[in-house]
Parts: sequence; structure tokens; C-alpha cells
Amino acid sequence: MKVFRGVLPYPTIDDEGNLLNGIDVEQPKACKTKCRDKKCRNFCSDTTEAVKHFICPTGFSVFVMPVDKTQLRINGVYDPNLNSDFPAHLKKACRSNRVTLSQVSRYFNGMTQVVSQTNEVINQRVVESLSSLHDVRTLAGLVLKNAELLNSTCSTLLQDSFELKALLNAADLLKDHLSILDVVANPERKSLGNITHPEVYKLVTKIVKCFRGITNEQKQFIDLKITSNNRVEAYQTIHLVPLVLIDNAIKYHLGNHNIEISVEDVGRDAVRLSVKSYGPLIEGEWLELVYRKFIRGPQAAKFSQKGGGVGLYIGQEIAKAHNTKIRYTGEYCEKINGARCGWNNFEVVFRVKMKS
Amino acid sequence: MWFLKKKIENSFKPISLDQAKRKAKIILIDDEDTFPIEMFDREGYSIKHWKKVESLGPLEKGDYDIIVLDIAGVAKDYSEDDGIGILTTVKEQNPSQIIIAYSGQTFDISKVRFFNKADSFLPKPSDFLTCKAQIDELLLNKFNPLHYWKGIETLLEKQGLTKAQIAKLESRVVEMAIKNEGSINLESDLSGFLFKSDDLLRVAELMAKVGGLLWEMHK
Repeated sequence: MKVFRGVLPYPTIDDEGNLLNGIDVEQPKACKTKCRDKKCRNFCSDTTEAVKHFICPTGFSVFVMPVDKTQLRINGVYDPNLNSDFPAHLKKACRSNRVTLSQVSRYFNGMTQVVSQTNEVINQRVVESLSSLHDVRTLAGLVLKNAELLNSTCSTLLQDSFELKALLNAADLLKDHLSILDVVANPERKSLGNITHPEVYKLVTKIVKCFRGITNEQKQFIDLKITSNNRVEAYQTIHLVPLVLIDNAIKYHLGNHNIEISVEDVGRDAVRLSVKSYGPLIEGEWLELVYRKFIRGPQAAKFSQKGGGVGLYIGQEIAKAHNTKIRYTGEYCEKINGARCGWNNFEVVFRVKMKS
Repeated sequence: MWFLKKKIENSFKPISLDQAKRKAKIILIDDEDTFPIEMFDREGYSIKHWKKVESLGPLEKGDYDIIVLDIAGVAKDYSEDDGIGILTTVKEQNPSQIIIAYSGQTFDISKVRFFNKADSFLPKPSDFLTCKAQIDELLLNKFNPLHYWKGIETLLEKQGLTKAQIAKLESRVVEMAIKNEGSINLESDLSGFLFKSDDLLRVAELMAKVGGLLWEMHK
């Protein structure tokens, strides 16, 4: 979006209310110094035309159009055809701000084409890069399939084998991490497929089992508390939410405390998952930033070399697809290596009926 | 209580998963061997494996209850779009054919609309329990007249029919299915309503499914 604002001839206002000059036409003084409400930021309508025209309380035209899933708002201009009541006292001062709908539409069409072609090129690059993982996927599939077959056919003695379980769990985690990669590349993947009705506690129990090899090795213990029976309405990717939360808890957990995971019913309508671990706290601006793609908090890299900053982003995106949100609370306890540490609690509530 | 007898849910015993499993014919079309087909065999499912599309006829005719279809490397001889072309053709010929898109290319945004044409999708690789859960759910729905009736209800509600009118129709459907060995004709019952031709066609298609299943269960 910023790229397009950089080449747009007309002034615009962004979602935060910042007024930006166009390369040809600047913000009028009336918008810069006198307007406090900035109502142009909120104009919207259900009409079908691609470029919508509004008139702000000061009298300026505002053009609103969708570009790459966000709304571009051209403000501080006036269209003599659509805005014939434009105040006379502003006309002289704003001579260069005279812009017609057809001029705006021409830019809009151009931008739409550029966005569409750029997205196509980006997707092509992603497909080219991830296609090279085809063999990895096939091999992961074969490992998973054969581990499952081995587990179902072999003697009880072998079924109790720690190594076989570790193999099964590793194959399962590998499969899930490939899915995470798919969601990063294709955000629509998060809600692909039909709606399922899983029991959250079963998903969580399975994930905890999968991580057992890692937690044993790191001498970490997980307390799993389950008081849940509800089935929730969910997309096939729902299991990736507990997966990333538990994965993060394990990665950043410090000290002699146990990781605490609970799955509990919230009446008959929902299930709450809570993952609590002890480690560096998330504070200040990072409370928002940690959910962004490829961003790791300052303490994250210090306390764990693993991780690429996609886990919470994916988790939050999938949670949002389920009309819910991951929420975080931190409880300060002590400083470790100069970092504020304490209990980190991530919570997410899944509903029995997904609300639209 | 007399009216309850004429409701679909009171007129048949839902099919069990075991029965559905025995009844169902599944085909996997995949050039690779990652699908847990042996586990399905062991669990008593009848599942056939084609490495590539051997013939379109059986797929279009509905010889299989579920088609698990890889979208790449399986149908180059039949369609430039490979598995996606098969998915499109089969769905055009037989919209009620259940197809699960089974693919390792879910990272490709340009393919999303094709995945959405399928009834469901399974990422590649998937573990046995995930595959089984999907197939079981689809099978139970396929052999459950209530599943199709819910679709009919939605279409009728969209058409402005009241709950009472829909309940009356449901009753007629149950009666007719048993009396006419599964064949249902509600032309006269619906003649007073202005249906869009697409909706009417869909209602007729779903009615045929409901009638067939009710009669089969009644026998």
C-alpha cells in the first residue's frame, strides 16, 4: 500500500489518520490545520461502484477504493461534477486540488492491474520455492505412513518402544510444520476444506505426546489439565493453534517450573485453551508486534535460537479465521540475564458454533 | 404423535459407520504412495488405487462413493489442468459425486478456487486418523437422507416456504418414498411456488437422493 501512496498524484489519509501528500497534489491547509475530526477516515457504503465518492463536512471530495484488500482514501480534493456545492472560499486556494472521478478511476484501474500482476508474480515465486519441497513432502508422507503401519502391525513389545513412538511423533510434527509453511505462503489455506467438529482436548493431548521426546530431552514437564467435553466448530487447521502455543512454550520455558496447559469447557458454548510457561515476558509494543509475520521479540532471540517468528502469526491468523483471538497476559516475577521474566499465559477460546 | 412418524428422522434408522464402510466404494487417484491405503484396507474399507486416471467413465457415472484425487501428475492424458481438470469435469457431470482433493500444493493461492470445488481436502502428507475422520464424516453424510433433506430445507426456506409448509412436504416425501419405491414427484406440491430453475433442479436432485435412501432403508 505504501508503495502505491508513493506514486499516487493525489493526497491520501491512512488508517491511522495520517495525512499524506500526493506527488502532484498536496494536502490542503484546511485538512492539515483546521480539520480535527478527520471523518474522511470512516466513510464507507455498500454501493457497488469500485471508486466511491463522499463529501466531508468541510466540503472536500473523498474518493474511497479497495486496493489489495485495504481501502485507499483520497482526501482533500474536489470533483466539480460530483461536488458542485464545494465552498467558494476554498475554490481559489485549492485550485490544484480539482480532481475528477474519471481521473481517479484511471489511476485506480492502473493500480488494480499492477497489484494483481505483482501478486501473481509473488505467488509464482512462492510456488517455485515451495515446489522444491515436493520430495520432502513425499518422504515425510512415506515416513509417517510406514511408522503408522509399523505401529499397527508390530508386536506389543515393539509398540511400547520409545524409539517407534518418537519416530511417529517426529513424523507427525514434520507433517504439521509443512502445513504451517503452507499457511505462511497461502493465507487462504487456514480456512480451506470443510468444517470439522473436533474435541480440543484430544488435539492438545496428541500434540503434547508428540513433543514428549523434546520435553524429556530438555527435562521439562507439562501439566495437562482437562475438564472439557465440548466439540467445537473448526477448520482443519485448528490443531495448529495449540501446536504453535505449545511449541513456543517449550522453546522459551525457563527454570524449574512446569509448563501448565489446560483445556476447559466454558459452559456449553465454548472451550478455553490456556498455555502457561515461565520465561521472558512480552511487554509494551511487542504485545502487538509478536503476532506479525517474521518478527521475534528482543528477548526471543536471546533465550532461544530456534524459531523464525511465524508461530504466533500463524496461530493468531488461524484463531481469527475461527472468529476468535489469542490473548496474552504476563506476570512479572524476576530478572534473568537482565530480562524481565515471569509467567506467560496464552489463551484462546474456541466456540461450539463459529460466529460469522 | 402421528405426525412424528412422517418425519425423516423417525422413519429410518441411521446407518452405522460399519455399514457405511461395508457399503462404500472409494477410489484413490495418486501417483505416489503416501496415502495410508493399507491402514484403510485393514480397517475394512474397500479402497482401490489408481496411479493415474485410467478411465473417466466410472468417475463420471458415480461408480465410487468417494474419489480421493491428487491434483498433480495423475491425469495429464485427460486434461491440460491435470487432476484439477478431472475435478472440474466430474463435478460438472455429477455434482453430487464426493471428491476429496488430496494435494501437497495447498501453498499455491492460484489453486484455492479448485480446492473449494472439492467437497473436502486433505493436505499431503496426512496421517491415517485425519484421513479416516474426513472419509467417515463424508460417508455417514452420503448415506444419511437427513443430510440431503437439510439442503432441501435451506432451498425451500430461501424460496419463502414456511416451517409448517416444509414439515408438510417432509411428511409427503416420507409417504411417497415408501409408496413409490423411492421415487418422489412433488411437482404439484411445489407448483404454487416460483422457483429459480437452478434451485428447482437442485431440489429435484436432492429429493431423488432422499427418496432412494429412504426406500433402501425401508426395504
